Amino acid sequence: MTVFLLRRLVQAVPIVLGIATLVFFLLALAPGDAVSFLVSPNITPEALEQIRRNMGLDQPVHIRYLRWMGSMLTGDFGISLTRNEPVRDIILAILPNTLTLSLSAILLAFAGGILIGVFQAVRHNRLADSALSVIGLFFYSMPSFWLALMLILVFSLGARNLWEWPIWFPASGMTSVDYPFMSPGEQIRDRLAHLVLPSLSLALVLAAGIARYMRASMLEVIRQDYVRTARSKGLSEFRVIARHALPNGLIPIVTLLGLYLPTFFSGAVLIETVFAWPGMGRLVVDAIFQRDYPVVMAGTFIFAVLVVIGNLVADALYAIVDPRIRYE
Amino acid sequence: MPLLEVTALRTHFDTDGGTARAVDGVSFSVEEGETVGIVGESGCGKTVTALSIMRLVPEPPGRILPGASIRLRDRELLELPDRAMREVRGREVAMVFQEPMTSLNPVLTVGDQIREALVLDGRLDGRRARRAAVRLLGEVGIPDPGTRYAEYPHQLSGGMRQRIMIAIALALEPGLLIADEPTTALDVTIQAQILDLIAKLRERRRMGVLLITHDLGVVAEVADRVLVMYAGQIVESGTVREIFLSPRHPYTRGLLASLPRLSVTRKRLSPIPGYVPDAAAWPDGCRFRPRCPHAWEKCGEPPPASPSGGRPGERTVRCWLPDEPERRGAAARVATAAPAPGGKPAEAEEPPLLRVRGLRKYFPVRSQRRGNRAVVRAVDGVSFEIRRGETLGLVGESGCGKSTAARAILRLIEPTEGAISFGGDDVRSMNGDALRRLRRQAQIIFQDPFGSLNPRMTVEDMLGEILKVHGLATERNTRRRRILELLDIVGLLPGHADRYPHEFSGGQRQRIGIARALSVEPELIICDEPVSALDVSVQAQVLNLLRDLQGELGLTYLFISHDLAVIRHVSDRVAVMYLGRIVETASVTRLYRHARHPYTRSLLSAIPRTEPQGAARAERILLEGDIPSPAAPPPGCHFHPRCWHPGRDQACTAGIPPLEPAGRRGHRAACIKLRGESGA
Amino acid sequence: MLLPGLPAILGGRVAAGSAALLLWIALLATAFLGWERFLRALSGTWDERLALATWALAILLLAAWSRREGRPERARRAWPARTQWALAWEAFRKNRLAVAAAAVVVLAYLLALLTPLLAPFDPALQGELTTERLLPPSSRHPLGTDQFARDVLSRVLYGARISMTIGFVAMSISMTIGTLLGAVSGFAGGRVDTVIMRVVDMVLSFPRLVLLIAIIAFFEPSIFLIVAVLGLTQWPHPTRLVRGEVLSIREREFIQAGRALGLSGARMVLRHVVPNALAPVIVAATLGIGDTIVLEAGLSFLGLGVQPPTPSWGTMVADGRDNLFGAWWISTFPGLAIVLVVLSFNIAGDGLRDALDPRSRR
Repeated sequence: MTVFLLRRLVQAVPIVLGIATLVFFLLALAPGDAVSFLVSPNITPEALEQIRRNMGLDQPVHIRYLRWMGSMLTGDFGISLTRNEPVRDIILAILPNTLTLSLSAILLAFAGGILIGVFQAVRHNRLADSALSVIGLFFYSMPSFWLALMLILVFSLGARNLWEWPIWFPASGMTSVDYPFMSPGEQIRDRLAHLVLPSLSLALVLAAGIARYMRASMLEVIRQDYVRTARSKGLSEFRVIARHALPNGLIPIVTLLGLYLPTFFSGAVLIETVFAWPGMGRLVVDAIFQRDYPVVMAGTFIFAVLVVIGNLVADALYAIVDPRIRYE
Repeated sequence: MPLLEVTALRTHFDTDGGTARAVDGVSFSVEEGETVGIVGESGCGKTVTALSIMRLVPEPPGRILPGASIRLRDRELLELPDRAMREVRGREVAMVFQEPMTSLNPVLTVGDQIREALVLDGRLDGRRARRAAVRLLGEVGIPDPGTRYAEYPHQLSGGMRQRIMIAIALALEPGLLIADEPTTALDVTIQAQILDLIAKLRERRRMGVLLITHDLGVVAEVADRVLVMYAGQIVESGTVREIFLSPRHPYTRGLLASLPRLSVTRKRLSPIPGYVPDAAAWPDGCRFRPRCPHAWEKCGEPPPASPSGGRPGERTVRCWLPDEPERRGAAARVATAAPAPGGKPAEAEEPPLLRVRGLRKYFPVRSQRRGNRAVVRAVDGVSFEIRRGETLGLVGESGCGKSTAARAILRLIEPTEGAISFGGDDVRSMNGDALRRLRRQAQIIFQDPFGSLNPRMTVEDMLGEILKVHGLATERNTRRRRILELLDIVGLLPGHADRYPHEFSGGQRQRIGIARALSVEPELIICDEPVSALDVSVQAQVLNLLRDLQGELGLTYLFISHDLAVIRHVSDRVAVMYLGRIVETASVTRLYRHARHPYTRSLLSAIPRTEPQGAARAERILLEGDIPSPAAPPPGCHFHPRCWHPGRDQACTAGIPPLEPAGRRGHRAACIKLRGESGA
Repeated sequence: MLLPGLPAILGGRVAAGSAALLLWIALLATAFLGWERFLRALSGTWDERLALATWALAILLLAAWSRREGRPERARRAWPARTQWALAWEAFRKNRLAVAAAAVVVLAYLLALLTPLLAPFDPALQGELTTERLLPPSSRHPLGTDQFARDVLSRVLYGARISMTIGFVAMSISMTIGTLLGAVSGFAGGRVDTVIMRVVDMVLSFPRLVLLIAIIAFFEPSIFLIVAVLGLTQWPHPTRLVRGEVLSIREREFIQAGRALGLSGARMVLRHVVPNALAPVIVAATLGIGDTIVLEAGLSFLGLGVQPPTPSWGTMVADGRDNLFGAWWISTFPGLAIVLVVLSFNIAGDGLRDALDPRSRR
């Protein structure tokens, strides 16, 4: 297994290098350079030239490329043009927020999706299965940002203002305004309450996809000879499903983790915007409107690296669930 | 009281094409300590019968019709609630399945899978169960059971896995073992081991065994009584002697006549015409009627089914014939067909059509250890020649490199080393036009009748494309005429030209494959396991076709198979391969009568005979262990670790034994221990 | 002839027949009620003329279908007897849900093309801001009005044109690139394959939306840019898919048989490999259009996609955010439109997959 994981780790290195290169060329191919966005009437051409030189933009492409690669690998992403802070500090400060949102959504989506998928497979072709399939496909076809708005409409605005439900969820930010004045217990509750709607709207869409996959995978596994063998041993149906079918059905789902990670992050960008969640996605989107290109590039790069790391985790999980990989 | 008594079992499936009556009124019984064999071609309902006894038929679409009874000792299984039925499975009836590769759970260790069955009983706690599982592994002949206990199925060979399956089945000491094609996926030497194991265990535990197989040889070898199934019904039952020595039902007789025999060479087979019909459309009356050579008006009515059929000591035949003495006599005469003329090998002086010298094909494999570039020596120095009009049989177990050799000869894969000369031309240096010319002169027929035809082309498109590309029939009309002619040659109808591959049965597809090979009018055809995917009766049809074509068109065959009986039937000369090398070659009669190499001799002794008693047979030589991986073959003689020859010693590991003369008429064998002995 | 669908209804195919009949009536009614608009469109802008042409084509196709429906079964077959495609079509037709979904897709495209003749209002036309702003759904504005007093229904209809066209064109671009690259990768093998697959891995490592906005950030947003960028970032998926297919087909014995028969490489690819690899590509394309529509909506939602005042479903959902509680209809209806169209694509794609799956038959 160690060999397998080491090999994957080694393979990840050129991918990260390639990602950095790709991001650089995105920038190099764009019309004008970063500084030209700053053009405003009160900057003289000389001053612009000075900024260019400071940022090393007067150098030939290959020098800039090497510098870029060097800085990416050392984690030095330059200075934000709008905030005048090192980009690294900005990102380090908000990365945990994005990870909190994404990880809770991933957990929700996989736990829910797997349970529903298994349930459907066991009830194959019965009413519950068909109903869940249609509902699942409905959520699967939904843009997450729209689902988020609808959830806000019902569980935040409607629940609070119209129907006066006892429970409603906040629709903006990570904490309430009076967060600093709460007791520690209340603080935790407040944070969790703020997490509910964003992670739910991110998770629901993907849980629907995972359930579809899990159902198909389980149906495939249930047809296999070894499940028949397990039945012929006289095992109970629960044991046949839980111990023989489920571990096999999970194998393709692990691949899905690696495959869905980019989708999760894409969704996070939108969801963070809807819920004013101070995370990486919103940072990048804001930076684009402010033409703050070092932040855009760094954010893009970090997202891609997160996906690569996530894929390594998926590989490790893969080796855990499938002995054929472990003993390769 | 019989151990198992099945009465009037009907298991039907609801499909899109109607109700498939997979099992349709089957009655039989199994006694304690008795082995009952069920034989029949695929689609006859054998497996569904077994699954019905276990109540493992998936419902829906399947259902067991009311009125049936399955009694195990004194209990009626069909009336048991699900929970009680689960207690029966494993404890009283256990089952071994056909595919050892897929029947074990890939994510659990084999030990866990055995222990699971043991713990279930509640009598054993975890540690004791573990010890019992290890003991079981030893009992089914797994070497080093303590270590194997913690291994996963993918780390074991096919034979080992089937032993594990048997260990699981035996865990709770059931009174009845159902074995569904337990050896079909295994090589013949491994098959012999497994059959031997089942027989020993049955003896030791006084189990009843219900053995399901399509292989008449296996049944003849191990069964006490035989049930012959056709179209969801038992058409004949009796003791092994009765069935094999005096078969009464035309289907049983047809099956036996379809079978190539080890004792007879080059006799034309008498196959059953046609194909097994679809289970949703069994014919009315006697279901065998459309294929039966003796059918007459009376066969329009269903023949009498013996109500208590299949009891020990009872002989049943579901046929009208035995009631009609005159017709019976005529039928018996038809069954023995006259021998047909064989191929006529050219004079020995003529240069061979194909000459292969030192052919090697190595495949690189990625090794786990860094830097260690491993290769699989699939073909490792193979030399032979084939004369015009002759058939060379190339026989060996799976993984011995016979198919790779065939593809390398045709340059479908590039050989690593060696010389190939076809009609005097050097094949390896050919390219462009020369290679295209070779493709017109040498053709290949594949094993898999499903994968070898493009599913999106009609037969006419397929053949027409070839004729057009090679400029054999440029005009539309001549092309069409030629295509119909080709179809006629291989025994298909003109109407088949517009059809797609999925509309044909396996045997018909194989005929299309033959027509395709013939379309370029080749001299040599390489037949790569052309009949191994086919049922016995269809296999005989295709073998006869190939043989007739050889006579009419003067073809030369390189015939590759793992089946020694088929090879004996078609070949003039035979070469035996083991792990990439030819170990023995001789004329067909010499090889089958006076085999010299220890591997060939054990191979021949391992084949189950269809002549149950009567024919004298040599002592069976059971080989130990598995075939080694071609990525890491043993040094020197590849066979020496499994060799039983008394003279085996250190010298065998020293170097590759050369193929040396070992008898008259070109008989050669690769064994240094034969040097002193005199060839017969 | 005058009532297409009637022969089908009489022939026992009630659902298909009545659908055709309703469509026929609807098409004629549009022309009848809006004849002035039709006349104006004759000399109008190019998309008005396109709408006219679509209308005429729809009428013609319905009439042709009706004629064919009157003939006996055999003459009606779209494919010669029992090809794999015919079998797939038979299987697809049995799946009522999938057929209905496919009909919704076709209808949606028809609506999108006919919008200039159908939409009650100009989508960009701002009504009287004091009296017609944020009106709830009513008979005059079936889906209400937005904060600029524009008719939401008209904007949803026009939005369909943008979203669905972008989805279709972008998917065509990426499928073409992906199929070519995948085929090359699968066939060439070796170093070419390694390089292509590494690039695929890299591009797939980017969350697609992040990659899109990073690219768009440096250009002026326009519809062409959106289409190009959506098309040029989707290709890794079909590339992987096609490569996998090619690799597995290459191992099938009929390919070896073809080589043994001396067929040329190009012929093998075109006649034997491509037709067999086509089915999964069709399925992926159908499912992919849905994904692309959602993605485009996301971009527009962020303000990086189609720019106002051009209506797009994503922008409209974003427009409604500020008045979510007071005027829920502004965000809700365009979102529902996305769900309906994408759902139809997904159901139709699933149906196609089941129908084309070779495992369901030999």
